[in-house]
Formats: sequence, structure tokens, C-alpha cells
Amino acid sequence: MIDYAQGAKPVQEATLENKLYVIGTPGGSKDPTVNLAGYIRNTQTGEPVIGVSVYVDAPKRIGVATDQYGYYSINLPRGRHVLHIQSIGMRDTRRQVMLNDHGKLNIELAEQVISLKHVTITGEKAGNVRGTQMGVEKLSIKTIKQVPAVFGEADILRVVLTLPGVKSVGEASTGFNVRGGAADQNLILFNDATIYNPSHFFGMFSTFNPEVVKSVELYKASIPAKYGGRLSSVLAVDGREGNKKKFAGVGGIGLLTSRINLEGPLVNDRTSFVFGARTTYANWMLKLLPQEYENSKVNFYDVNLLLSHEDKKKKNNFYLTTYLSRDRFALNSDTTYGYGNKNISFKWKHAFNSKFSGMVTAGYDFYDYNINSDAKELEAYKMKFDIGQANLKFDFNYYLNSSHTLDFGVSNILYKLHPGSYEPVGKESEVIADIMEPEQGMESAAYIADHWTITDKISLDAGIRWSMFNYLGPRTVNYYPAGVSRTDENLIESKQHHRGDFINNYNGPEYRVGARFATSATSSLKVSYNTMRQYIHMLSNTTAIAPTDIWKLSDPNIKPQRGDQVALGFYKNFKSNTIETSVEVYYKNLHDYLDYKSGASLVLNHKLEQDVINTKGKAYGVELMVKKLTGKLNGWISYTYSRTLLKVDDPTTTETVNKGDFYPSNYDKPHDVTMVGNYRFSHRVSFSLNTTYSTGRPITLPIGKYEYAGAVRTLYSDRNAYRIPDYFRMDMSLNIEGNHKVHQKTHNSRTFGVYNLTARRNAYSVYFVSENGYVKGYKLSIFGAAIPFVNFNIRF
Amino acid sequence: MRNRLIYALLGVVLLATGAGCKDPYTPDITTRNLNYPVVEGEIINGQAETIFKLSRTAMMADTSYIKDELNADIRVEGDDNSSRQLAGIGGGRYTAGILNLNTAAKYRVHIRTSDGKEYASAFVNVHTNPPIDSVTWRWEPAEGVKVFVHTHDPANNTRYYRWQYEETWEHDVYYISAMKYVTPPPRVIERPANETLPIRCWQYENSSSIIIHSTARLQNDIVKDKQLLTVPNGSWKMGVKYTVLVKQFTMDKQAFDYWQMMKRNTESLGSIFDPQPSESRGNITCLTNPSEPVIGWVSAGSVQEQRIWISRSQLIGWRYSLICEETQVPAIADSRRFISAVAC
Repeated sequence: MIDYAQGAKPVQEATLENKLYVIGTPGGSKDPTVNLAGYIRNTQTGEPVIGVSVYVDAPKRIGVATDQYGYYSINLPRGRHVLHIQSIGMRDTRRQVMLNDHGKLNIELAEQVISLKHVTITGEKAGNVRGTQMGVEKLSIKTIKQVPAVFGEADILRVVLTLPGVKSVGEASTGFNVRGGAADQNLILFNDATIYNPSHFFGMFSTFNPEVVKSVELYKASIPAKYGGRLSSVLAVDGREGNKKKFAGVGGIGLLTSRINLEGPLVNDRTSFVFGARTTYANWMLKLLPQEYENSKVNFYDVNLLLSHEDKKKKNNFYLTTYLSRDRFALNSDTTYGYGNKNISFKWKHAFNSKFSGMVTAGYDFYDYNINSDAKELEAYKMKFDIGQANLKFDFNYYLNSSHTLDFGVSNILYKLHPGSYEPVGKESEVIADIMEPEQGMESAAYIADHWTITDKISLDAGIRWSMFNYLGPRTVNYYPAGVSRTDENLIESKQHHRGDFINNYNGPEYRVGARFATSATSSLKVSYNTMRQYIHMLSNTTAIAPTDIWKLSDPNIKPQRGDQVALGFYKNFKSNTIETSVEVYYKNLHDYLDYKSGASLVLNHKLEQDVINTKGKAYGVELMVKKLTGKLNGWISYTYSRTLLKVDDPTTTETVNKGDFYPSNYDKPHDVTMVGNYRFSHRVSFSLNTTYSTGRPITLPIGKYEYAGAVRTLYSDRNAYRIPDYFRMDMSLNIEGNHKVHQKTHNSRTFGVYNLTARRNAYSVYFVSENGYVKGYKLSIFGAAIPFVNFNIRF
Repeated sequence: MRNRLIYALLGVVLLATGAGCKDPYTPDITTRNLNYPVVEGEIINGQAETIFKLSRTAMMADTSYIKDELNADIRVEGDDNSSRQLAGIGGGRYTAGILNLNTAAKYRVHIRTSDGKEYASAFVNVHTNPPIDSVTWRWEPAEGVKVFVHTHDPANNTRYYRWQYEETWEHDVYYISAMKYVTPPPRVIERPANETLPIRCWQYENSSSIIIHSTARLQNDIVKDKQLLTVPNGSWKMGVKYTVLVKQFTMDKQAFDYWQMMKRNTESLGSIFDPQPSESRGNITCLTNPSEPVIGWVSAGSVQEQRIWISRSQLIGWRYSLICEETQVPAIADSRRFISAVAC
């Protein structure tokens, strides 16, 4: 095999495009079809480019796209070809190749800086029509940064919330709901490390630093077989690789956070790093609070360090990701809340040959929170919760031939949770220490999936994932007879299991099937069917994700959640693939979703199984989307109609919600329209506008009143029988870049904008209180005014 | 705990951005006929009268009063077959007088309403109640006078407490009361010249929030510094002399959970970090139609009381004073006579 790698020295593009690359020697292979593979990188930074189309037009159209490492592999008939390389945001190029044998060809792409073709959404051109996957949304960091955000802080999760099928319960909550799933049913991965709480500052910001993120991919329907463990979606956040050619940095100042980013080569062209750190100085906000809060403090930070290395033979790539985030909040110094994520992941990608590559990923993820209170000496306490998971997985990709590509692998996760401890602080404290027994579990999975191109027009993705969960000792487990309510009276025994015991086991298949029928060159019809299983549950009886929510593993009493989804979509592109349109319809079932008895306490509950009610759910909807990818004006408009309904169907519980009928979930917002637009006036000035409307979320309203304990009190309706007022918001921002002279030492950019331009007082919540013996209703809005912001960045 | 979190969030986010806001809100509620019975009261062993109040729920939008349930047949029944009928005393209130309960027995309330429906509470144990150690007060200059209760159970098994209080305060009258309201028939008459003018009055108020506390997480069953109320700075309640009577009740965990739920559903803020309001069934059911919701929880036990007094003289610098109304009068003989008549 012959390896052509282009040197770092500048070569005229035209020379490269017209040069004939001869792969192998004539007669080197007898195979009619040979394989060509390699990496596609950015000329300036050496970073791999994802989703680049590599195709030939003759004798027939054969095309592939690069994976998340910028790797492509294409099977072509032996002979002379013109290889077209196209990617959004990069200059199109082509290579003349003479294929005599299997071989490798690495290609570098130059960034496209023509204003006319500025690009906001990465992804293979026409990828939406040609791929078998559906319900996948991909956003580049460029797009994310264009969308105006509150306080001007670019926020990945805020932008994800503008995508069809993604909802949240309120403005200041980072938890999101995908196609009717609960917030804990999303697998949030940062370079394959699981992030348990993706929010800072009670949900005002996401914990992802936009400067170290390359792209974000959200899988809503066809979830690849290599992912599992959550019912609703996978949000894969990919970190950047550092600049492999020179050192660079960005410093930024905003209203709430300041950040610094450094990147550069450690070994030229082979090893690079990216370091990003953000911290807040939001304490000034607290100075504006009434005097009684004068000792309050708020603080958060996050730090990322990403390393990547490629060996000399270009067969091995190594990636190390470390991530740390921490939030602390002290309210008038008597109660302190703290929570944070710690993650480390290591990946080794090895190309056995041009058709077969594999990857090993090992990592450790940790999330914890704690509360310390010393308001009263007698009752001073500290409370803690943590969850840790160690992962190991092997993923392989095998390009069998032009019609079959196989993905297969195995994975294993070991969980260890400390479900809560409550301990006295100080000598005076009378608090009885209450330390819950730790729990352990192991989740294993093996999968295989085949991408089968049946004909030019029909292709099929078929995968199966077998997942298994073992609940491990040491742990005391309560046993109850089947089919009766779990109460102390019905408790059969409390059994102590020892270290190393496999207490119980759940396992089952998960099917991932998707098919595509090309109805024309620019349109296709797709269908998919997915089943998922989830063995870890977030315990929450609040509407939004709260930092004090805890996680629980499935055990002999708490069954895994199961879900299945069938989806159908039609995709059509116009104007040479610059306008993408799509319609997707889905129907989804959820089983053994957890709800809780009225007034159940979820933290430090030693008999949690007695307070859990199994609930089933159904969700359905239609999502329409129009995207314009290129041109001075670009962006997308989406409309979603969706419903999510839940129903208590637990024969063992005496307690039901709404008499056992279906009721809307907290995030059931039927209508949702979002428009994200960007207009580029010149190289340096662009304008963005973001508009969103949705039906108000359901709430339980007081419908009646009664007198009790000296006051008029409220009587509530059936759960979620009413809705808060509809939501509407419009934001704008103006991005001004400094001049683009290449040789100056620093480049700067400024962003000015207004969040909630119309100053509409959107209801964040509605609540009712007894005041002086009367019931009064209030509508609370977080951003009840137009909020201007400014942000300043320096690149060096 | 979650409440603090809410304040943390709302406090910072709303006030700091200066953009958050709170507007009055009246939802559009589709009318439905809500007429559930509400039963409030405790079965009290000795010391104090056992009084139950029966009423009905009303529509939220109703401007009308909450209806009292009159002419019900209500009894306190023991599982030792004892039974005592309560006598109606008006306003939906019924009294059993002083009851001497058998602490080994269990008791319930049984109600037959005038529309023929029958209701009964669960049979409940008679709880003991340790005496209140003390009721103290402290003037915190930033806020006002705070009243605290301290109690403990040496046997460590009370654990769940509830308090009510009755405030009474003396105050001077604002105006000279030259007229008088008399019945029957209701009419206003001129106050007879020989009658002394009222110059000192008393006003009273009962607690209107649910005050509960649990010591279940503590080694010893001690309640220390549980705040019951605040009399805000400058309040007229401290104008002359003030007294508060604190009543302590005890209960079991289920009752405590019910009270806590009611408090959470009706008194705490509705942030999205709050648990959803949830259905809470009390321990009273309708025997005629078991699916009919009944509001209320009946417990049995003794009551402990303690009263404290606070004089104006104990609060040097309390900024409340009866302000004389100023009247501009021309300096003529009539005016002088008027001033000497109304001088305060």
C-alpha cells in the first residue's frame, strides 16, 4: 500500500487538483473493487473535518462521508477516478486518482471565507437525503455562536432547545425533553464521557465551554447501536482538536463569565492540546440583592483539557479528554450548595488496515452534590450524594464491501453510587447521622449493526444491541411478594447481599432499524424503528432538573425503563441542496417510567421502592423543518406538533394520579415554532435573529378554595389540567469582527445584542399563595424585560 | 431545603437581573361544581374543648363566602363503643365540651350531613403531648419582634409537632366615639352623655399559617427556637400591651405528612423547583360515596398551652404611636372651644 500525505508546505490548489495520484502499482490487485481511505483535515489548523462528502460521479455515483475523526473509506472500481471533496464551510476540491490497489490518501481542505458562501450548519451536503439516519440534528459551533443567548454567553444547550422535538419546562432550566422523554432519558456525552448535570447556576448556563466544542449531534430517532442506556436521545458533544500548526488563544469577557482558551501543537503536526477555562464573577449580581442576602456568594467554573496525538505511521490516534465543573452557592452563608462533574476519558483509534478500524475508550465519570447548613447549631448538617461510573468500550468499524459496512463492539459500565448521607456538623448538632448504603451495578452491552446499500435507491441500517444490567452487592435489599403493594406490612424479608454477589439481572435486546428509499436524486423517504432500555433513573418530583436530584440504579424492586419509537420521514432538497426540507412523524411508547406517591421524600429514603409508582407514557408528534444552509441569509424554521401523555398503570399501588387516566406530562407543549436566522452584511458584520413561540406548559391549578387552619387555602385541579400562558420570545444580536488582516497579532470580535427584544413577560411559573387569609395568584417571569448584552473576544 | 433553593434561584436571578417580575394572575378556570366537605378539628383529651368545624369547598372564582355545613350530626366515637354527640354552636362549629378520653382506646369522628351522607375518619390513637418548655421573644431590629417556642420530650417519642397561636393586643382608640351601634333593631344611636367614652380596646388575631416541625432527624426530641411569628417593626400590636397564647399539638407521621403537604400546596412558592401540587387524601372518607374527596385530618391528643405578655415598656424605641390628626382651624373663639373638646 502506498501512502500519499500532502506536505505542510503550501502547494497551489490547482496543482493538487490536477496532479494524478497513483495508488499502488499497475496490476497490484486483482480485485475489481479497491478501497481508498484516509483523513481529511483543515489546512490551517490540522483539525480533522467531519462530514465531508467524498464521491465520484462516474461510472456511477459512489459517495461516503468522513466520520467524527475526519476519516473516510470508499470502495471504488479499479481505474482512473475524479474524487470530489465537498464540505460546508470548506473550499470544494477534487483529486485525480489512478487506483491500482487498496491505498490511503489524506487530503487537506482550505477554509472558505467567502462571505457569499458563509455556512452555518455543518453536515454532509444532501446528507439528510442520502443517509439512512433520521431524527438527527447536527450543529457546528459556528451556528451555536451565532444564536443570540441571554447575557451573550454562547450556550450549546440553549441552541439545542431551538431544534424541533426538543423542549424544556422553563427558561432557566437546562434539562431538556426530547420527543416526550423525561430529562433523565438523555445521554449527554462530551467526547464519550457522560455528563450527569449539564448546567451551571441552577440551569442558567450549560457547562459546555463553547470554545472547546467542535460540534454537537443530537440523535432523536435512529440512535446508532453503539449508543445505549437512555431512552430518549443521545446528545454527543465533540470536543475540538487543538491547532496542530501553531499556538493560538482566545480571551473573552462577558457580563457574567470570562474565559480563556489556549491551543497549539506539542509535537508539530502530531500532538496538540486545547485548554479552556471559564469562571464567573456573578457575585456582583448579589450586591444588588436586598441587605439580608449580603453574605450570599455564587461561584462556578469549568475547565477542559483535551489532548490529541497521531503516531508517525498515521495508524494510531490518541485522544485524552479531561473535564471539571463546579458550582457553589451560599445563601447568606448559612446554607451552602455545591455540585460538580469530573470526567476523564481516553480514546485510542487504530486503523488495522484501510477497511478495518477500531477504537478503545476508557473513562471515569463522576457527579456529586452537597449541602451544608449551619443556620442553627442544634440542627447543623451536611448532606452529600455522588455517582461514579467507570466505562470501557471497544468499537469497530469494518468496510466489508461497497454494499456492507459493519459496526460492532462491546461496552461495560461499572456504577457506584452513594445515595445520600446526612451528618451532623459541629459539637452542638443533635443530627443523627444517616448514611445510605452505597449501591453498585454493572451495565454491559454488545452490538452489531450493518449498513447495507441494497441498491442505489434503497439502503438499510439494521442493528441489534443486547444490554444487560447486574445489580451488585454488598447491599441490603427488601423483598415483597409479586403483585401486591410494596408496604412494610407486605415486606417478606430484608436480605443482606455480600460483596461480589450478583443480586439480580435484567437483560434484553434493543433493535435499531432504519431504511431509506430514494424517491429522486434530491428526495427520500425514511422509516425507523428503535427500542431502548434504561437502567439508571433520576429521582425527581420537581418540574425541572434541580441540583438536588439524585440518581438510582434499577434493583429487584425498580424495573428498567423501556421505550420504543417508530418514525417516518420525508426529505427533499431544493436549489442544489442549499435548502433542506423535512417532515418527520413519530410515535413512542414508554414503559416503567418512574413517578412517586404524593409527598414521597426521595432523598435519604431507605425504602424508596415503597414510594415509587410505575407509569407508562405515549408520545407522538410531527416535526416540520426548512433549513437554508448557505448564502448571506441562512438559518432554519421549524414547527412541531407533539403530545406527551402519562398514565399510572401500577397494579400494586393504591394511589393513582387523575384516577388512572392519561394526563399530560410537565413538558407537553403541543405547538412550537422556532426561527433562527442569520444575515451577513459583510465579512465583518452579521446580524442574527431568533424567534420562538410555544404553547404554555401544563400546570396543576387551584380550582377551588377552602378554609383550614385559619386561612383560605387552595384546592388543586387534576394534575396538569391547565396551562401557563403561551411563550413567545425574540432575540437579536450583532456580531462585529475586527479587520481580517492576516498578519496582525490579535483579532478581536464584539457581540452586541438584546435578549427578549419585545420585553414580553413570559410566565416562568404561575403560583398561588394564601396571603392574609386570601388566595392570590401570581405569574412570575424571569426575563420580563429586554436584556441588552455585550461580549468581547480576543483571538491571539 | 428546597425552599431555600428556590429563594436562592429566584432571589439571584430575578432581583439581580432587575428584569424578573411578578404580576398578579387570574387563570381562566372552566367552571365545575366543587362542593367537597372540609372537616377541621382535633379530638382533645381533657383541658380544652373539642371543637370541630364543618364547611364546604368553594369555587376559586367565587366571590361568595365559603359555606358552613350546618345541621350535621357529628359524634366522637371510640373503639371502646363510647360515643359523644357534638352540639352546633353556629358558623359550622360544633362542640363536644371537655372530653376525657381513654388513652388505651382509639377514636374517630363520625358525621352525618343534612343531605344524608355519612363520613367517618380513621380511628386514631390518643397522643401524649409534652409540656411547652418556654415561649420566648426577641426583638430583631431589622425585622421586628419574633416569638419562639421551645419544647422537648424526654421519652423521645413525640417527634411531630404543630402549633397554633392567638394574639391579643390592647390599643388606644383613634377617635372619640360619640355614636354607638345597638341591636335590636340594628341601628346607630348617639352615645348617652352619662356613658364613659371608650378609650381602650382589644383586638385579637389567630394564626393563619401552618406551623409544624419534626425532630425525626435528631437524636433527642428537642425543639429549640422554633419561630412561630414575627410582629413587624412599627406594628400597632405592640402599641400598648401584647399577649400571645401558644397551643401545642402532637401527631403521628401520617398526620404530619398531611399537614406538610397542605402547607406545601397552599403556602409555598410555585417555582419549578417545587414539587408539583399533589393530591393528598386525608384520613376522612365518605362512607356513602367513597370516591368523594374529603379535606381534613383528624388526630387525637392533649393540648399544651403557654401565654406570654409583652409591654410597650419592654420595647424601648418601638416606632408606633397614635398620631393625632391635625385639623386647621381659624383662630376664633369657636375654634378654641372645639380644640379643647377634641384634644387628645
